[in-house]
Amino acid sequence: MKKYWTLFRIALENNMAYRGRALIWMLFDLLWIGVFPFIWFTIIQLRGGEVAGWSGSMIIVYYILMMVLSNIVFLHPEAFMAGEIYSGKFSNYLIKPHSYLGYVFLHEISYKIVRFVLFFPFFIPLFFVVCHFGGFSVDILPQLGFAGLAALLGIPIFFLSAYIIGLTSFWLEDSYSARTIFWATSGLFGGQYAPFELMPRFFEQVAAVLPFKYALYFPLRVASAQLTSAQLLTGFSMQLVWIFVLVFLTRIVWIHGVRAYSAVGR
Amino acid sequence: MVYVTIAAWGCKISMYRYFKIFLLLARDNFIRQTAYRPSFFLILIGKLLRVFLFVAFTDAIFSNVPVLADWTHERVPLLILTLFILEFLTGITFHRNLLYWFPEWIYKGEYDYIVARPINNIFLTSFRMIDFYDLISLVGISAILIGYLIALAIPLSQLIGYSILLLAAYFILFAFTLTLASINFWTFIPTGIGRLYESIERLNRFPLDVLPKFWRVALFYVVPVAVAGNIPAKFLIGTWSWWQLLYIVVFAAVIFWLAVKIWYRALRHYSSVA
Repeated sequence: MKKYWTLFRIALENNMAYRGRALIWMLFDLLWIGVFPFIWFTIIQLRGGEVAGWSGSMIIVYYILMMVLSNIVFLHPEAFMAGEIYSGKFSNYLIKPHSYLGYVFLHEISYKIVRFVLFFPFFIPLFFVVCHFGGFSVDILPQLGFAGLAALLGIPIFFLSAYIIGLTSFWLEDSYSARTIFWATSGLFGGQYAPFELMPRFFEQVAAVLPFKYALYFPLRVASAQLTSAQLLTGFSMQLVWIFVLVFLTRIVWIHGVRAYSAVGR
Repeated sequence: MVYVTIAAWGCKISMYRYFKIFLLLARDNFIRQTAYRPSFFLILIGKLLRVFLFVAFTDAIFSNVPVLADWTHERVPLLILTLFILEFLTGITFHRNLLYWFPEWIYKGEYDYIVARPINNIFLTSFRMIDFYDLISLVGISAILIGYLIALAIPLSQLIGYSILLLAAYFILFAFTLTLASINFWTFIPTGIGRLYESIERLNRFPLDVLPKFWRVALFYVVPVAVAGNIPAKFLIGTWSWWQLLYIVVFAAVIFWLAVKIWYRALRHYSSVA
């Protein structure tokens, strides 16, 4: 356990040193709230104040919560892993006395912590300004426990999905292709662009067979208290199922990937 | 008169030389990118999937309302196609070179190699890696756009104005990117800035007229990021005038001149320490 704590500490210090990167990505997240809510807000106003059960204020809250959640859930180890495998640096990890998965996870989590600490001072005033001028309040306290749990379970779902994408570098040499597809699908089918109720059924049907919905959309719906007890139970069960499936897949891909690895970059 | 002729000849020779270098750089990168063929084709599939998903998403938005800030369901493809044309054009040429590779060259100390060449260093820095992933996508998107323009029977004058705006947009985006890249001579900026810049550029996927007035003025006139999609497309649908076009052209010329000045000023700070 001590060695993992040391790994975490080193990764944290490293990320603190390059906090500019975290700040830039945080601004990236803030952009979401700059355009999408206005588009949907305008549409909802044009449709008489409500579309598929979504009012103007609900959609703004949706994007605010999305911004917070994406700062917690989105872990992106795939580009880093691809570089390590492509360059052959990955060989170093094969002889180290710790798990590669654990190392990558701690590396990403430490980055998330730095990013979240930087994000919060921006977020709180922004949140109050939006609520004040929008004339509404967000009360997530009653479901904070469930929402927190759903978000925590969303982290491994997203992380393991990205981790598997990173592992495809064992076969693809340059896994940019897999990453492009991953980035294109994870946001859209995770509900990052819009609630599924506002989109054609096709999107929800595809999202139902992918893990991203349970990493992002489900915690968000829990936070906005729009789910019944049965839906909550189904959602949490699905999260656990996806974690189990992804852990299993990670194991399989890892075993075959390491066999295929030739350290050709070295 | 003699001097003018000599200058014109010199310019012609120089243009021809740079064109040849451009082709050489393109060929070199084509070989590099197609070295891993499965990966090359998968990236193309990934790019197409991204375009498809985005079109489906936009279609979903517009299925909710018949008109959104002057944009009807028939007009919206003009906006999306314009965005993709510019995104691919910049992607093929300077975008990744300046925002992704250039900081790395500086960081690793490889930039000396470029500075030492007897070629204009803005040219070599911006066009060193010609991206063929986006070239193939650009051909496809251009064909769709041309077909769509013919189907909509857009008048020739509007097409000319649109082409001018596309060119101006390319120069404005180049100037923004070059200025951003120049900062690396003073202080290393991480590649995440490239992603941030892309996101700002991609705001143009949507009609920016829905934004509050303050944002509209800022994005259309002060820092015309809207030029990466909204402005040329607005000209096509007749909601952007020739006077506004002139403003964008003048803005493009000024910002391009300024960006080049900033670059050379910043270059003086290059210390070759990596």
